[in-house]
Amino acid sequence: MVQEVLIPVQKYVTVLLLFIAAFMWLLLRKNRGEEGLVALRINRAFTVMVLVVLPFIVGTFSFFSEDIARLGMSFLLALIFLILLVVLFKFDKINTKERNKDFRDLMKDSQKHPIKFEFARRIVAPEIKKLKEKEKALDKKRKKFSSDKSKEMKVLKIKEKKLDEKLKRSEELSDFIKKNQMKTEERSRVISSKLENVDKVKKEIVKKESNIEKREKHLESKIDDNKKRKNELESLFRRQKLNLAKKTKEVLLEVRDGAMREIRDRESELEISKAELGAIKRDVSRRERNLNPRINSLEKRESEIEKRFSKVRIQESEIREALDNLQILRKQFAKEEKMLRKDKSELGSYKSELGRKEKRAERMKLTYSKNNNDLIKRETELDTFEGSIKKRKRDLDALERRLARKNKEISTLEVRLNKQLDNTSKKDKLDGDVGDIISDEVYTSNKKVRRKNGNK
Amino acid sequence: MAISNTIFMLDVLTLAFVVLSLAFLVRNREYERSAFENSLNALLFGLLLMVLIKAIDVLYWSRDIFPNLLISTGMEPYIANMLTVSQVALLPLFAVCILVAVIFAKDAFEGFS
Repeated sequence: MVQEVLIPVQKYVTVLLLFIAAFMWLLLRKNRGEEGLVALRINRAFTVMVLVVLPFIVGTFSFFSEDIARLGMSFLLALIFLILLVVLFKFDKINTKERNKDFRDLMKDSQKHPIKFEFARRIVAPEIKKLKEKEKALDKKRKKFSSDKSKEMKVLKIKEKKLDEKLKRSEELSDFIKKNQMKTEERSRVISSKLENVDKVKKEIVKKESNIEKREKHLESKIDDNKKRKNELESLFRRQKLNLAKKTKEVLLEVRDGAMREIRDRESELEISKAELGAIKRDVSRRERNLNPRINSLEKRESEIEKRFSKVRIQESEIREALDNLQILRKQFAKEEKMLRKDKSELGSYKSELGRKEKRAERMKLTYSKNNNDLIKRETELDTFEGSIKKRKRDLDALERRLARKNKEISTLEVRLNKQLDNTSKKDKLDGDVGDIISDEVYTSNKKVRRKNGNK
Repeated sequence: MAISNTIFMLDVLTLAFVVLSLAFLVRNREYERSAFENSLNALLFGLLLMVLIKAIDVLYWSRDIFPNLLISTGMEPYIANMLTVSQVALLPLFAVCILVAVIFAKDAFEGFS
């Protein structure tokens, strides 16, 4: 809520302040005119800067949608700052040209700048001194840098050797690991083939077990059948016995005498059936006896299967151990691989650092050589400058000598003139107002002497 | 989307122009008389504030164009607040700097005459 009120208020304040600034500047410009603002070289930049009020007016008091107003504001701002950049760039170009021209004039042998010797003495000479000091410092630095570099190179060579040794070791290790891996792979193959055989044997055992179970079931069914038959026969025998008893009782009453034979026959039949029953019983017992070894053999087979199972379990545990060993070996291999990668990356970083340092050293060398060249150029310029100064000094000395000679001549002339003046004064004392007749040259020399002496 | 793209591009251009103008103004300051030094310093400060304002605008408009960039830098939640600060404080301060620069320039001209 506060923001919704504050932001538009601040926008209005901004527009108002910028408007006041623009009004003040344009009024000043109108009062003074273009020529009145020459004291400030970049007055046009101010004029452009003051125009910033326009985009803010467009952004604040717009009849269009907010997006279009924002777009217009951004466009106008970009335009105004582009104009400002162009104006400032032009001014900079003009000002640097003027400054360069002034400096060139200072270096020329002209009468326009009489302070050039002073400039040379006060500004150029300390600069040369500073440059020489800098050169010395640079030489020291260069020497230090070369010594440091040689030391670093030695250290790096030692490190490189160590790294080479490490690399060799790591390569040997990797070969050893590869060999171990091959061996483990072969072992795993053998183990897998053995496992396959074990599986096959297991399947066969299971098949055999199922067959034995089937046979057992079959035998059990047979035993059941035999038992059923025995029961049936017994029931038959009982029934027949009962029938016989009934018949005998019936027939005994009707046919006692004649039936005695039939009874005997039947008794014999009974005996036969008894014998048959005994045979059947014997057969059943025999079959039972025959079944016992089979059961024993089944038990034996079961025990054999259990033994095989135990063997298979032992083999399984061995295989598991071998697999565990393989995994441990793999982990070790991965660790060693990681170490190798680390070593390799460190080597790479070392190499890159070395390369960077070499590049930096080359750049430093280039900068040193550039600085040296600049210094040599400046030295040559200064030498030429010194030569010109020496020439001037010689000219000045010659002038001084000439002036001294002239001074001497003037002093001799003065002495002569003084003598003549003394003579004339003596004569004046003798002759009163009549002066001596002097030539034009003597008269001009006398005049010069008087001027020098301050019209004494 | 098109308008926001255009505004983003214009803001980037403006930011570049303002930074270059700032650099050239610093260079030009060496050739001016010492009487105008205060005025130029105020103008420089105003341009510096404009750089900040435009940088915030660029960040705000880049929210639609490069959303992942701002999320990755973790600046996204602060941009709205930064825009509010620029509108409430930085813009009026920029205007004040321009006004002060003009007033100092006027005083310096009066001192010459």
